Amino acid sequence: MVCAISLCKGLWKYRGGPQLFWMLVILASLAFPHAADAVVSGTPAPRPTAATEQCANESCHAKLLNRKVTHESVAQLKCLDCHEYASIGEHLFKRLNAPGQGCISCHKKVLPKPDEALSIHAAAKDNCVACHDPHGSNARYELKQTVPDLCLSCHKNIKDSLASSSLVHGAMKPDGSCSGCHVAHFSKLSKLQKEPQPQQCLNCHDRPVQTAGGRTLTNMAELLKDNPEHHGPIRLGACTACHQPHAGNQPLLLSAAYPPEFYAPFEMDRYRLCFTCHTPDLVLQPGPTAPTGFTDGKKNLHWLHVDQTKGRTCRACHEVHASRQAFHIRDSVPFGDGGWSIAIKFTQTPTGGTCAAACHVERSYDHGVRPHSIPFVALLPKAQALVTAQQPMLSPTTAPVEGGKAVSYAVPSPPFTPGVFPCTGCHDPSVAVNTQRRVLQKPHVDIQLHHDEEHRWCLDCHNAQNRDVLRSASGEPIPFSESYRLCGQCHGLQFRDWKVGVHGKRTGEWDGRKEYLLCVNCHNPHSPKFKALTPLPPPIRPNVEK
Amino acid sequence: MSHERPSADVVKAPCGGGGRGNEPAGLSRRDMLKYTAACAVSAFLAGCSGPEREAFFQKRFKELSPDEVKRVLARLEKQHSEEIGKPVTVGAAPALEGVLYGYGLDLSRCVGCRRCVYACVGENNQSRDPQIHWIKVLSMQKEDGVDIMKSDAYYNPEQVPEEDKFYMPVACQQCRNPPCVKACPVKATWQEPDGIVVIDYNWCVGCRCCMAACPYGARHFNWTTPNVPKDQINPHMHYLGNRPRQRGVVEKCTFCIQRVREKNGRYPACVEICPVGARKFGNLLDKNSEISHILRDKRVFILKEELSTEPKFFYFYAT
Repeated sequence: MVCAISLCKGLWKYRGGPQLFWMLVILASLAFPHAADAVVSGTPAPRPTAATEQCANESCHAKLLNRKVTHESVAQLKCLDCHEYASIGEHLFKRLNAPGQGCISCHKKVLPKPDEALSIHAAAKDNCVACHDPHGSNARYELKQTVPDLCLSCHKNIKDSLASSSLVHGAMKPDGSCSGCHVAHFSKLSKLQKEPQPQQCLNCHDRPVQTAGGRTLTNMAELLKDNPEHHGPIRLGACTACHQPHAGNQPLLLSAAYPPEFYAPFEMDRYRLCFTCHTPDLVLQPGPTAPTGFTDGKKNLHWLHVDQTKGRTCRACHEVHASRQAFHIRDSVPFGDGGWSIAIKFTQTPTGGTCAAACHVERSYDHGVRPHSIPFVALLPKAQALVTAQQPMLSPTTAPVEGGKAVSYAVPSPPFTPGVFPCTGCHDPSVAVNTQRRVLQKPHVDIQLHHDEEHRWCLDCHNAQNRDVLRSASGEPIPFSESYRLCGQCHGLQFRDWKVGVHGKRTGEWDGRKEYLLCVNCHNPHSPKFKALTPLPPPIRPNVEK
Repeated sequence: MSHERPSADVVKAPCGGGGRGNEPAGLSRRDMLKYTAACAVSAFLAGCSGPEREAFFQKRFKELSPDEVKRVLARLEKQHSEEIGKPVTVGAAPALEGVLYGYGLDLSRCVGCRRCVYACVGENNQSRDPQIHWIKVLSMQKEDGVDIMKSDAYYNPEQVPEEDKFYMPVACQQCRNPPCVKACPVKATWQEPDGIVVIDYNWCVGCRCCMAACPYGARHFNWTTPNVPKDQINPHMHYLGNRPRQRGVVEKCTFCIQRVREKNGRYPACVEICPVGARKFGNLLDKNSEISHILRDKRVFILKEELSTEPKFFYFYAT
């Protein structure tokens, strides 16, 4: 005590000391709020030894009770539900933090069971107090701030985009906005989404919506209902592939450039949006090997359509959301200023199609039997991943026995057409099997059997009882991932060579991990002969005269 | 040479355009040449920065000590990284123990699409213009069989394979008895323990004797500094393989030495790209490798067998 007094004295005498002195006094009083009692009374005040109404008396923690929303335990003054004494004598408390003791001991449903959720809010995992005030607050759910301010205090990128964008999604504007589409703690969907798209979006867009700019947005629910041919992202539940969910600078909150006018000449930069998913070669490559089914075997007909100045481009033929015709081809095109429209009639055939009496006279194309390696609609890897993610993956198979010892190699999944597997999704086992030879109907119009077709038929290889597997000649079921066993029944020499790596392609390490391909990764099982390729350019002849 | 020409002008100037025999008494032709040579050497040494001088006086690769190899590689990495503007690695992984590389090419599969040619160009940093291709794909008439005199490397149909033709890619045959190695007057090319014939580009004097000796046309000469767009350079390099070459040196296929000598060894680029799986690669000493299976079970031939070059590149017919 003597020491302290002499210290104070010294401090006071020091130049500028009085200010410093008072500052220290204030700091000390903040740090030890009960010290003043001791100074005033001269004897230490009795410390509360149990959580009672004492905690909430006027001079101590009363303000915890004066909020709009108060935590149940606080209201009932059950302080020890969450706190425990660290040192009774010094009135020091600590939070109950051990596993199962904190918030989660009562709020059991806040976190998902294992494998129940695809996305968990990072803050919800271990830091409830990042969003909630544990005693109470003036916002609902004892949140520290109101939504969306609370969310935006962490999600700065969205805050920035809201500030810098010319268009803000209407769903962001009313109070409590974020929680319109997102849940707070965990979700079975990615990014804490409440419902899968497009259902989530259709909750609002099931009626004409007026935008702030005075534009009326289409009743999308009705449009999708009336037009069964949906654009891929809608089928895959990814409205956000094209539209920004929060804010953006492009009209209609599109995520990249797409011209608002109907006839706009084709330039990559104008149609960036389409090429966030589609390979540009779909349009730009003039030859028949372009990754599209819209070819007559000589030219890429996409290229033919856009390669002129008038501006017949993506949207001139395709409806962006949905239509009644195959490949979501639009029903009509606008003509002139008088509000006229001319109908397009597209008829799909097994190996091509016919487009009649709209922009041009009736024209047909036939792409023939397509090489298996050229996709009908080429997608960039990211979009392809989205498509693949929707397909149930077949597990990698273990197989060939090499040199007497069992060696397992991972082979890739069979190259199914997107959305086609599992086959039992359409082929109901209870429905009688049609064993007639016939030209196949949709969705199998692309299958043309050129595989010993005189002697073979679908059900020689496909299992009629369970379409999700194949069958061997003896009727044994063979999974699609082990189709080489089926092929090997007839092609024994190739099978033998394949097992030792002499037939077919191997990649990877010559002395380590090798990747095999299934027979069907290179050969279309329905038409297995290799298709002709365009050779890369020949070497330049040496010019001896120069 | 470039030093000489201006000096001659300087000599001529004081004598007022006089002809032969009009030289001033103080400076004979011999003196003039001596000075010029001395100036050239001193200018070269003065003008050379450290690394250039080091490169100039570098020993033959096989004579470098491990420490010196490390220094050389570091120098090359620095030099190439600066030139290209992105980090490159130049390795010098030695041959693996118990490995002798062999290559198989299935002539009944190859469709002549030339994917391998361009995969090789990309992997091995070959010059784009003037063009150097290590792999040459020859198209041959089915009725003539393998007849190089009647082959055509410049075929360019809309689609391959053509009905009446088959295709035979030819690159370095990695001979066990390589005539090119014998022909080199400075020992800048040799056969490694794993069978790959390599070139030390820093030792090659560009005499092109090896090119004349090679019966397969597998060696290529850099008439100019190789021209590779910076963004297309493969930064994963090997000293004896795909590192950027200088003007005036010979280059050839190395079985992608930078890939196959990695731990566990990746397949060469041409094997990985081949869309029909016609190209096979492996260790001849491993009886379970693909190439061993091919040698045991398939009808195999080598190109120009009569020359006793003993290639380790085997053509075969799988079916």
